[in-house]
Amino acid sequence: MYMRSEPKEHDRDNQATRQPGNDGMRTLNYQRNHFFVLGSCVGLLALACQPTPSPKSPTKASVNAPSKSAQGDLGSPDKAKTSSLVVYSGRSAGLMEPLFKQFEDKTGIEIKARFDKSTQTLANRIASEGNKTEADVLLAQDSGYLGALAKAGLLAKLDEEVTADIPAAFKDKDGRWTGVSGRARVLVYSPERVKVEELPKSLEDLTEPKWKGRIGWAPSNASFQAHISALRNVWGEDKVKAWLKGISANAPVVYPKNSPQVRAVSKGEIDVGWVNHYYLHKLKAADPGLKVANHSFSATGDPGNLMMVSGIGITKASKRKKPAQRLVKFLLSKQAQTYLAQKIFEYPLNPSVKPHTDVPSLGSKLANVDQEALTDIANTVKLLRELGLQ
Amino acid sequence: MLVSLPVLGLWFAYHQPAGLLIPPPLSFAGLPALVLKTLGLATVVSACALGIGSWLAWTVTRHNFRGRSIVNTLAVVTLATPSYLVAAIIREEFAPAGTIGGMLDLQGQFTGFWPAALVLTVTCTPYVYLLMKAAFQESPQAEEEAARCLGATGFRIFSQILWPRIRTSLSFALILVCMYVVSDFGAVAVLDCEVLTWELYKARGSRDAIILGFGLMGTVLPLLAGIRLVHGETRQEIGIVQRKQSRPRSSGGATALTWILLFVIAGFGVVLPCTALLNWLISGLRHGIDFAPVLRPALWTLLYAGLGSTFVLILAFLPAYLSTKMNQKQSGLVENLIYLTSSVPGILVAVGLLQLVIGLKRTTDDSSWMTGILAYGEACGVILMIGYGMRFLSQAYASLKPTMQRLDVRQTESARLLGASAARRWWLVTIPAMKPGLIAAFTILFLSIAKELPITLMLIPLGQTTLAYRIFDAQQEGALPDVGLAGLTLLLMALLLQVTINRRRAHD
Repeated sequence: MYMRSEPKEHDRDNQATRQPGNDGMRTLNYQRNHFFVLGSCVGLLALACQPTPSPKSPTKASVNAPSKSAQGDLGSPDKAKTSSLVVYSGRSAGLMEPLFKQFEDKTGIEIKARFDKSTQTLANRIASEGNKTEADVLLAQDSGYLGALAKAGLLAKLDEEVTADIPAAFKDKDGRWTGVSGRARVLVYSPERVKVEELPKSLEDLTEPKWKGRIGWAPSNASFQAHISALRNVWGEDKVKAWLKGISANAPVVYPKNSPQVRAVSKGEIDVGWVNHYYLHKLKAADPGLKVANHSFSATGDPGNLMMVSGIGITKASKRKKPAQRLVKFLLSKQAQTYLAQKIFEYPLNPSVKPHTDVPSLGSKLANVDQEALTDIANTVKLLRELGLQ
Repeated sequence: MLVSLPVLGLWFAYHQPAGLLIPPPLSFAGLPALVLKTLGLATVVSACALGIGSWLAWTVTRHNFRGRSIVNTLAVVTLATPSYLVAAIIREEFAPAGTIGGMLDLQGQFTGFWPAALVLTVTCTPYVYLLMKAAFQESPQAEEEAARCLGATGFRIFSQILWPRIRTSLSFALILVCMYVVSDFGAVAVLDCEVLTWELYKARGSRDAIILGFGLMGTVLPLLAGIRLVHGETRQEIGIVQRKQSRPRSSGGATALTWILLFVIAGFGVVLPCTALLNWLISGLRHGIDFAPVLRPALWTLLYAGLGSTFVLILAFLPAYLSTKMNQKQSGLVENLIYLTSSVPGILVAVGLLQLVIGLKRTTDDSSWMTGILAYGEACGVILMIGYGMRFLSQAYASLKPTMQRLDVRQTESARLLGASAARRWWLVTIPAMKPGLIAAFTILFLSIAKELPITLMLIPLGQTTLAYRIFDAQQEGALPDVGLAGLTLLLMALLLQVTINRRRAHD
């Protein structure tokens, strides 16, 4: 406890009492600074929180007449962004953000994307959230999870005229999802360390002892799992199990994804990697000195020459199906398909767009596998776990 | 209460309906091996970090040699570099065709247990250095000198005089490093080291999350108990003041060893990352590739680091204030609860909170107010802030409590006697007196949140990315030029903040 006391004489010489005006100014400035900081933070937070406008309460701009400028078959862009879409993308941000930007510029529909390396996690989340999912669209790296969601009744039907040009083999027969681009499974190899005649003619040849310690693979990757699902359909469970055991006996090096394998081959960590074809072209575009090449199995219709499709589906719970359909239409349009072919080096599924000149046609070597076969991911993961590969 | 949120989330994850996409759950049989591997990594890293950090601290505090101040600065500058960035660089540079891998003719990919141990040693050594430096500074050199004069051997001086003084700090450093390693996510994810945190991330959408979460908490809690036990003993030793002693010149061998160790730590922690990132950036520019934009992630990083620091400081304010008013037992209880909350590893906080949100969405009605709150909570980053609050609460508390303890009660009493209301006393007396401590705490939290990865990766609102997110994403894709650009931006930001923190520490 402190005793009350009279202020001492010398306190009157205290600077605070000598210049009360300055003290008041200092206090005012102090308060102003803090209010400014607080105000900035609140302002920034307000900018950050941009809740998606509800489709039930259209903004003023959306009731205006559409712009007169011709924008092709995607419809005219609204002058203000009147709608938005939530996209769950299993494809990377680096790949999809330029396409999303093009879509936004063309249509005025804002895309809010959640990117996740694992399409499985995104698909699980949609399945788990059910009709409360915020996702309008799922962009999957592989059709497996799209098929699984469609089977569970969680995807809406797409406009038939939008997907009319897509080959039947690359879309759902009930119209609940469609492929967007083709991705071929290949072996990436080092021409310096592996002669062409040494390369396997069939996927089964990878179990030969000469490949011990020289193979890379990514069992946790969605493309790998989709391919194993296809193999289970073509070869049967027992043969796939024996093949996986044979590969495991060759001590393959495990990678989390495909692109590290391509770099690993160029760096000498491994001699061959089991990847998707376009990674080579993408990395070579950034580093022309990369000494790697792609190899497709020469045996006709070998199941190693699988064409998988990245795909898109609209969730049944989506309250923005019209803008979602526009996104599907855009991704299948010449503009987006040309981007996917020329910049990402994938196989376009729109027949009016040609693949990149560096990307070879697979022709008769392509395996004849129903895309539906890629949807049985759960049992594939179960098998991989049994064998200790996951 | 906060610590129960991720636990509840894991419970929801375990009880989610058996959907078409949920793989069969892991059994508990695999858990002991994972725990052992995690603890093995912690043991190796703590042994190495303790050895290197203690030696550097010893030579800096006890000896005089040319470049001593450089050693003092460089030993801690590695704190600015996130572990996932060091891991990404080391992984690439030590690959067979990488710069260092090529020189050393290494075979195979540089991933797994030992590379993770190297990276975590580099990032943990500064913590040991700071703790042991303080311990050595508080240990009176006069006693050692006296013993030396009386003919005691070096070993006797160490065992009878020095060891009793530093053993508590050494134990504290050991357990702290173990805790850090067990909780680390970034480095083990990039280097694909199969430990609890990385496995938990891979299992984040499934029922396995609760088994792995259980294993992780079971590993962390004994370490936390150890920290609290040892920390109590450490506190009693703080406050010994000794006069500045002259330092003898260091021997040639000792100096050489110091520089070699510093080369390892600062080399891998700062020099190599800066060089490699710059190299990747230049390579990308030369080949004319399209860089992923980095301005927006940088702005989001600044925004969330600022907001997060403010939120965590506010959260820690009341407990820090109350603990200065309570008796020792009550204050100890408050501290234990705070440290328990922050002991939950970041990845577990992230997975738990995410599963909690998904689980609540699943179980509540469409029209219920809870659904609306969850939607806005996710969109506005409230869930993210809660994650940061849990993770960094103890850091804020540890910074605020000494600040509050140093407050001069006489000033507020004088203001009260002069008629100032409680609000005015707080605003005009208490807050300005706390300002240096608040700024220091804010800066430390800002740096920690800017570098933070797992919570940001999983809880950041739709459509937003931070620099940490961008680096991790680009590294996974093998887009090294993007890693270079985003990494340099984050490193620059972190280095500036770290220099500020070091300067304030030196000033204090």
